[in-house]
Amino acid sequence: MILEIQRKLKNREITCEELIKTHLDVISSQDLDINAFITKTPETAIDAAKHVDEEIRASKDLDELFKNRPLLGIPLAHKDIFSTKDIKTTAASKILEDYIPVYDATVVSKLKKSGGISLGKLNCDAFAHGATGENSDFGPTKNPYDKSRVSGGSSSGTAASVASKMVVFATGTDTGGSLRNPASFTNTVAIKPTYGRVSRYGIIAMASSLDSVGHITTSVEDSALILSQTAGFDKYDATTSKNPVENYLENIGADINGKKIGIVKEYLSDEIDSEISEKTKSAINIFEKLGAEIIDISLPNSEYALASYYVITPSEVSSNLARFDGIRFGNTRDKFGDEAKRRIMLGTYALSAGFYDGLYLKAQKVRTLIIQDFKKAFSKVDAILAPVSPVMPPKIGEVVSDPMKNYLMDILTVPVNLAGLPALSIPCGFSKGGLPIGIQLIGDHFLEKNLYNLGYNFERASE
Amino acid sequence: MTQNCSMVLGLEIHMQLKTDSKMFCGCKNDPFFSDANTNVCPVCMGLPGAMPIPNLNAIKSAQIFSNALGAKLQTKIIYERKNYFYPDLPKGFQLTCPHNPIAVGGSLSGINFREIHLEEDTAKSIHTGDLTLIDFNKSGVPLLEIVTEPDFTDIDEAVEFCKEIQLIVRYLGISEADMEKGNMRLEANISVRKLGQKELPNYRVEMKNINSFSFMKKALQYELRRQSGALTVGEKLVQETRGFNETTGKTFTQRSKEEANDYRYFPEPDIPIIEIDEKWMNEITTRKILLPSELRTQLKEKGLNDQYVLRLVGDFSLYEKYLAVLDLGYSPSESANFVVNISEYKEKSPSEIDKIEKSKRSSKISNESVLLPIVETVVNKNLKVVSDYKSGNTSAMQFLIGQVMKSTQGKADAQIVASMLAKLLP
Repeated sequence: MILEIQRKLKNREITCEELIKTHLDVISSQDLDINAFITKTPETAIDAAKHVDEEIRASKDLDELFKNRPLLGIPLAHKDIFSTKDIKTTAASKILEDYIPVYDATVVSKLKKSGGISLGKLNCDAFAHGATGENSDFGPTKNPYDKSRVSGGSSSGTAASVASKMVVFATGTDTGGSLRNPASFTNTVAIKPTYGRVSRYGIIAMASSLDSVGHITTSVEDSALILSQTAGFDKYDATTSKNPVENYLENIGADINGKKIGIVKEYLSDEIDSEISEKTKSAINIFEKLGAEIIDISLPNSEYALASYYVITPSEVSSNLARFDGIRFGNTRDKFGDEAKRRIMLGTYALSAGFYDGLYLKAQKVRTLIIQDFKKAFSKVDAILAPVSPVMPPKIGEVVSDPMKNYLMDILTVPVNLAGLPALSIPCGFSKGGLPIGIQLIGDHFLEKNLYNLGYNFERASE
Repeated sequence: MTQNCSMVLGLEIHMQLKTDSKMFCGCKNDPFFSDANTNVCPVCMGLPGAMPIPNLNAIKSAQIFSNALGAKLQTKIIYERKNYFYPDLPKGFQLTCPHNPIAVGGSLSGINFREIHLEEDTAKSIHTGDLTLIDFNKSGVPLLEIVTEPDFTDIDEAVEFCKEIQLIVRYLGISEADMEKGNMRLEANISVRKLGQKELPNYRVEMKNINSFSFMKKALQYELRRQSGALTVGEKLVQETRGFNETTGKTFTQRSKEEANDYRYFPEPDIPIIEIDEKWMNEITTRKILLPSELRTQLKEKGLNDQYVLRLVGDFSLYEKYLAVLDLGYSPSESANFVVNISEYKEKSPSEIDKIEKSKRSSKISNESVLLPIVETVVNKNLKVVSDYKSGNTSAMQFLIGQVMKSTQGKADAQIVASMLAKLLP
């Protein structure tokens, strides 16, 4: 989609101002209902669009202009946990209701440099805690495919804004499935890059050892193009890798004949919704038709992943949320929502003297075992294919009062975060009731390129 | 000390390192002279989303210090979060390396080190009226922490030890170690046991925020008396933090063991393990350094007296000036005399001193007929001193010579003046 918009802008078929206004109109007409945005910035977006139009008019070499700034004029939006200079950043929590950052997150400034135009800040579960978007203090985001249902979480606004065409793409974070899960609920594409591939600087931390910064798009190609812009070493994030950033679009369409795709025995549980299992099987068939070799594999420690995740995550959360101490940022700690309070208490307990060894340390040991499981698997296969969510998008209110049900929605996504691996969530069809279903492709560290190649071929074949 | 008790004393010394930038961000490291909240950024303000980047130069300074004291440099440094609430701690946790520190072991004057850490300083609270203001210039300043074993047997020994540490960091150029500015802060852990008891006492009293050497001495002396007294009469002593009231000269309970923090340490996910490779290690261990103890020996071997040695070793800039004067061809004791004793040379550079000395020597007045009227005037003006001299006060002679020197702007040959005075005042 982005390459098509580029072509239209270059050929003067549309102006950037028209493009931005079209999207702002979609927001005006739909967002009252969908509730994807917490903050909208139409004026600055139109100004930026006018500026882009001037640049295009003045340019003597449009190819060069778009080569250097491939996202020129593209309307986007950021999950509201990305710090944006001079623009309110709430983390969807009342405790930060009036917080205006003094700086841009690295990804925000990178996307600005690439020419992208932000239309505002997107709803999510407060502090990214949740799988349905309902933990937002600014109301749940509705699923554009069925407005009585959630759009997934925590990057709820990210998925809904892209699915309803309010923006071309949107940023988000994935700590335990927070991009893949909403993408699978909204017929969109999500990339959760390798831990350390994209800078986390300026993004309000949930669980620092797991947070991964990605985006949601409507196509695999767009996803690859954007990652080429956001990835890379950042001197402000000590965990970013110095591995060179690849051009993820290059060879994206290469033949996948002979590629080995692993199917995880432990992921084929009865707990998974039957329609999701069915669609996953048809996806496997498509890959087979494309010439991929399907191999059964085992990740024996999978059953401990969720427990390990829900010890490590709250532990880090309890420490990361300590800075909202009621002294600064305008609001006191009673403004934390129930889920934040729950995680602060769980994490504080897990890190306490006397419990640390049996909880936090043990969870870290499990994490090491899970990493080893994946290492073994990737000695046999190029990628692993699995469902994203074990359930169809719940009705709004259906699981919000049952934290355990909410946590179980992450069961197929958290192992990837514990191991720091890249994963690509792509649509694989609809349920009989018309609800979107997604699958994920999991790759070895820093091999996003493989995932894009597989995903692109699958997308073409399933059209 | 009560005779049937012995003291168990260990120290924790905190030292702000003199690096260009702070421990985990690029802000200027200047907690003392800049206007409040001018050396700040999202990282040291603890703003949401900000992440720490370890300052490798600060780590190197800490390693240079550790290496100089024979501590074993660690090849892996792991930063952890020490979680606690305080208004001067914007993140709600302090970054420190308690379990995988910069170095372990080493010793100085027979006192063993347990470990040497490098952490971040907190912000500064300024209490004014019923307001507390916070200056974040100090937030994130690199802070070296030296932890000793409880090896001290004497309070004066502990004070001397701290002074020597202060001198060492100044020699290494890694800290100003100024107690008044708070560059250097002391904490003491003190307890007492029965004479002959081998195992450590089952409690210790932590004395925090000691901001001068004399304060340290007084507080520890009081505490030793208090604890010895209690032990003698069989009172139970408890683990606690105590403060010292300078006005009353007494210590008082600040926090008991029950109120102690559980810091919930865990590895900082935002800082990967810092691995020290061989090249890095060599850079530290092969570095040439001069310790005050070595300098003391060197200067004594040059024949300098104790007073000169004390002054030169105690003030590294004075020693550097001494070296420069020495380079100009003066003897060690002449050079030491110029920089230590002669007040008019205090503000003068070595080359200026040399110039003055040369002109003095070239224009020395040794002609008695020129000196005689001056000597006579001095004698007549100071009849009281003269009579002192006659009644046997030998320092009176020095005074009279001094007066002649003063009248001739130091050009008179002192030896000739002395013999003239001796002749005049039989």
